[in-house]
Amino acid sequence: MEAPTTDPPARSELSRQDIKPPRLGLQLRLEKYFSKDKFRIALDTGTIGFFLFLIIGPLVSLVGTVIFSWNGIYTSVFDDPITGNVQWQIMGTVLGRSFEIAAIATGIDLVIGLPMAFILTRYEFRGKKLLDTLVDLPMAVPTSALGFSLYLFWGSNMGISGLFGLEQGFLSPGPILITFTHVAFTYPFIVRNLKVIFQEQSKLYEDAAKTLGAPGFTVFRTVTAPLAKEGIIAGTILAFTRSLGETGATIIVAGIFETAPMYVVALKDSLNFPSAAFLSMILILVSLVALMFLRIFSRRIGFPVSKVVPKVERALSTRPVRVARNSIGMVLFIIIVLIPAMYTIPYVIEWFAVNPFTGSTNNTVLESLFAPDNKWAWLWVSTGNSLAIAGISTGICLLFGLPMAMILVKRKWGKMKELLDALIDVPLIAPTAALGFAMYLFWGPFGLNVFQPGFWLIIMVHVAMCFPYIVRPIIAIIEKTDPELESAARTLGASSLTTFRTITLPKMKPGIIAGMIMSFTRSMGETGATIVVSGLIRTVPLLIVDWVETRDLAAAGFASVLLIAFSFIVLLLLRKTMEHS
Amino acid sequence: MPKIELLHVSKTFDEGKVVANDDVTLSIEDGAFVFLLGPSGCGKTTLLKLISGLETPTSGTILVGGIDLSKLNPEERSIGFVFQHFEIFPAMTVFENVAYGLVVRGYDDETIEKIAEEALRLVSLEGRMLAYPKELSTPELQKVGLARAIATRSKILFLDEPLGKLDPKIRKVFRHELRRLIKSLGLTAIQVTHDQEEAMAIGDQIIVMRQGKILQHGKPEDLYYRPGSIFVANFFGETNFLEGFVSGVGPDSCVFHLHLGGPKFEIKLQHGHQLKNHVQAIIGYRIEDVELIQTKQEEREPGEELDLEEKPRLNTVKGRVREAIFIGPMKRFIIDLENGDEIQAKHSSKFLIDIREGDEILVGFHENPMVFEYPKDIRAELSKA
Repeated sequence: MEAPTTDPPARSELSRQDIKPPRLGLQLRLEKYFSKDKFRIALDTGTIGFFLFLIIGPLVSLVGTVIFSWNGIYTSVFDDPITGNVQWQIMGTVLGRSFEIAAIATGIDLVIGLPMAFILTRYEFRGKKLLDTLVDLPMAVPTSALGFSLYLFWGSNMGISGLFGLEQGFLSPGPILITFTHVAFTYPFIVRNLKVIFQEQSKLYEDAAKTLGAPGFTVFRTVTAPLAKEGIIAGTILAFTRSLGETGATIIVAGIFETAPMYVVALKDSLNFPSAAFLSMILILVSLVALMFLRIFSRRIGFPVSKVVPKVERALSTRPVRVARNSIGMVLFIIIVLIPAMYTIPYVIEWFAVNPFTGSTNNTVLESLFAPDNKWAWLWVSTGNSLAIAGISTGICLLFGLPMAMILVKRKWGKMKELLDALIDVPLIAPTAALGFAMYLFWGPFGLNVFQPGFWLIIMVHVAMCFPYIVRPIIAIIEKTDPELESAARTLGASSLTTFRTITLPKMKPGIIAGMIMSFTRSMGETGATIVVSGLIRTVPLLIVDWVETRDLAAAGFASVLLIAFSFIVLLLLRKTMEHS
Repeated sequence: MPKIELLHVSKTFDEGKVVANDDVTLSIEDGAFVFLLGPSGCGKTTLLKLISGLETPTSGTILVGGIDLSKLNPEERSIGFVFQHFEIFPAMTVFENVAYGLVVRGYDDETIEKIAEEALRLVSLEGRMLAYPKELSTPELQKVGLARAIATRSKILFLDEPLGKLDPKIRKVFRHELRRLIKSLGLTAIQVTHDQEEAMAIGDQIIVMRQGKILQHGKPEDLYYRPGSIFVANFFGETNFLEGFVSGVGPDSCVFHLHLGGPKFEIKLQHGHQLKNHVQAIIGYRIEDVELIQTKQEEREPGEELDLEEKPRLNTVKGRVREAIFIGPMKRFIIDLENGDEIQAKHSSKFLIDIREGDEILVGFHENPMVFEYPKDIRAELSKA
C-alpha cells in the first residue's frame, strides 16, 4: 500500500507532443472574442440603461410633473376658484376607501388563507395536488375576467341570488363587492407565500415541540409562526399593495363608487394630468414605503410568544376544533374564492344559445357576439392584439431580463446592486394604473414623445409589468445552480460565453420557461395600466370592461372564458415545466 | 516548463475584512507533486483558484514557466482542476464531460474520441462512457473529474480534496493510483487535502498553511521530524509536549528541566539553534517515540541508565498508567508522570501486552526531541485551527 518506487513509462495520447491545438471554429472564435471584458461592460451598461428608461424614467417623470406643475396642482386640487378643495376631498375619499378595502380584504385572506396553507403543507391526502392547483387558479384568471365573474356571481340576478329566488343580485356593485373581489384576487398570493414559508420550515421543530408537551395550537403560535413571520408579513404586504392597486377587476364591480386607481384613470381621461400625477405619486409612494418596510423591518418585528394560556390553547388544539378549522378554511375558499372566480364558465355554457329563463335567443352569447355591431370580429382582432402584445413584451423582457438576472446574481456592486434589486420589484407592487400613467407621462406626448397611446406604449407598459416575472425565476434558478460548474468549464478551456452557452443556459432553461409563461399570462390579463395607455387599441381584457359597461354581459362572459381557458392552459404548461426541472 | 512561482500574493474578500492569502511567496518545481495542507479556511483552495485564474489576487504576481499570468483568463491558463465536489456537468454523459475541454478547444472529432477514451481508460472508466453523472457512484464521479482534467493535456493539475468524499478504505487505494497517474503523465500537481497521512504517503513536498500564510514547505520527512513550529508538530501526527526551562545550553546540547521540580533531561540540539540559557522552552516527543518500561518484574530504579542494545540513551521518568486502550494493531496508553504531566504513548499491541491500567511504569524519553522556544500564545499554537 505504499507509494510505488518506479513509475511506469509514459506512452499515451495524453503525453504525445505532436497533437497541435487546432484553430478554433467560427462559433468558438466569436464566443472567445465577445467574452472580452469590454463587451461584458457594454452589455451591463445597456441592461442598466434599459432598466433606467423602463422604471426609473417614468417614476422620475411623474415626480417631475408633480413638482413643476405644483401651482396647477395646488389650484385644481386644493384651491379651485369654483369648487375649492373638492378635488382633494374626493382624493381623500377614494384613498380612504382603497385603504379600507385593501385592509379588510387582506385581513379576510389571512384568516381563510392560513389554514389552507397549513393544509397544503402539513397534511397528506388524496387530491392534494388538485387542491393546490385550484388555489392558484384565480391567479391565472385575468383581472377583468375575474371581476366580471364575481359580478355575475354576487352582483347580478344570474348568480347566487337565483339560488334564493331573488330578483336582484345579492350585492350591488360597490365597496362590499369590491372587497369580495379583492379577497378572491389576493387569496392565491397570500396562500402561495405562506405555503413556501411553511414548506421551507422543517417539520422537526414542530415535532420537537410536540414531544415537549405543547398542544398543536401552542406549537403553531410559539414555534411555527415566529419562524414564518417574515413570510407572513411579506405575503400580507404583497396582498395589501395588490389590492390597493387593483384596477381591472375593480372597474367592473365598483358601480358608481371609485377607488384611488380608478380615479387616476378618470382624471387622466378628463385630461387633468397634474391631478392624476399627484394621485399616482401618492399611490406609488405608499407602495414604495410598503416595499421598504418589507425589505428592512420585517426581520425586526417580534411575535408575542412568551405567554401561554394552556387551557385555552389545549382546547383549541383538540381534534374537533382542528377539523372544524380545516373544514371552514376549505368551505370559505370554495364559496368566496373558487366558485365566484370561475362562475363565468357555467354562465356562458348556460346562456350560450338559449336564454334559460325565457327559452328565446335574447341576450345569449351567440346573439350578442353576432349582433350587428360586429363583436365577433372585435373579439378576434383584440385577441390578436393581446397575443402580439404578450409575445413581444415577453420577448423584450427576456432579452433584457437575462443579463439583468446575471447582473443581480454575479456582480459585486454592493449597495448599488441592492437598490437595483429592490427597484425590480416596483412593478410588482405599484398600482398598475399609476404606473401606467407614469409611463404615459414619460413616453407620451408630454414627455419624450416617442410613443403615442396605442400598441407600442402598451408594450412598453407590459414590459415594465412583466420584467420582475421574468427576472425573479431566473435569479432563483441561478442562485440554486452551483457556480463551481462554471469554474470547472473555465478551467477546461471554455471562454466565458462558451461556458454560458454550454453550461449556464441549459441549467437556466426551466427558470426561463417559467418566467416567460408567467410574463405571458400577466400581459394577457393586464387591465389597469393598459386602460390608461391603450388609446384606440383594444385587448381582450379591455373588451370585457367595455362590454360590461355597455351591459353586453353574454359577450363579456364569452371573452372572459376565452381568456380563462387560455391562461389555464398556460398555467398547466407552467406546472409541467416546473415538475420537469 | 511549468515551474510555478508566487511572489507576495495576497487575496482579501469583503473589502479587506477577510484575508484568505497573506503575502504568499513560494516556488514549485516542474514535475513535483505538492500537497497543500492546513486547517479549514486557511486559504488553500483560494490559493489554487488564484493560480488557475478563478479568483483575482488583490496583490502580488503569479508566474508559470516564467510567464506572468495576470492578463490571462482561466481558460487561457491551461491548468487542470479537479474540484472538491467534482462538478461533473449533470446534463452531459461521462464521455461528453471528458471531451468538453477538447470540444471547446476546437479539436476534430477523431482526435477528441482518441484522447477522451485514453483518459477514461487511464481511470478505468471506459465501460461507463455513455452513463450520466446521476447514475455514477462517488468514486466514479471522482474518476470522471480526474479524467476530464487530464484530457485537456494540461501540464499542471490542481486537485481540491479529490478524495475527500470517498470512504477511508477506497481512499487509501485511490491515492496510490492517483500518484502513479500523475507521475506517468509527468504533471506538476498541487493537491489540497485535510488528510496529513495522505499528504505524507504520496506527496513529494508538503506546504503547511495557516491563516493565509505558509508556515512550512518541505519534504514529508522534514515536516514530520523537523517541524518549524509547535503548530506544525501538532498538525502532523500526535505529539507530547512537555514544558520546562533550559540550562547549560551549548552548541549542540542542553539540559531541560521539566516544570514543578521534575526531572532533568539531557537533550541534543540541532546546530544553529536560537535557545538561550534559563528561558522557558517546550520539547516534543511523537507518541510512538515514547518508550514504556515495565518495572513490575525487575524493580528498576528511576533515573537508572538503561543501556539497551541499540537504543539511544533514555531519560526516564516514573509514571502510572491511567488508561490502556486497545485499538487493533496498536495499543494507546495515557500515563500520569510523577511531576503531574500527562503523556500519551502508542505501541504495537503484541509487545507491552502486560501493561495494564494502574500499573507503575518507567517512561523513557530519547535525547533527540523537537525543541521549541516558548511561544507567545501557547493555546493558539496547540489549537488545530
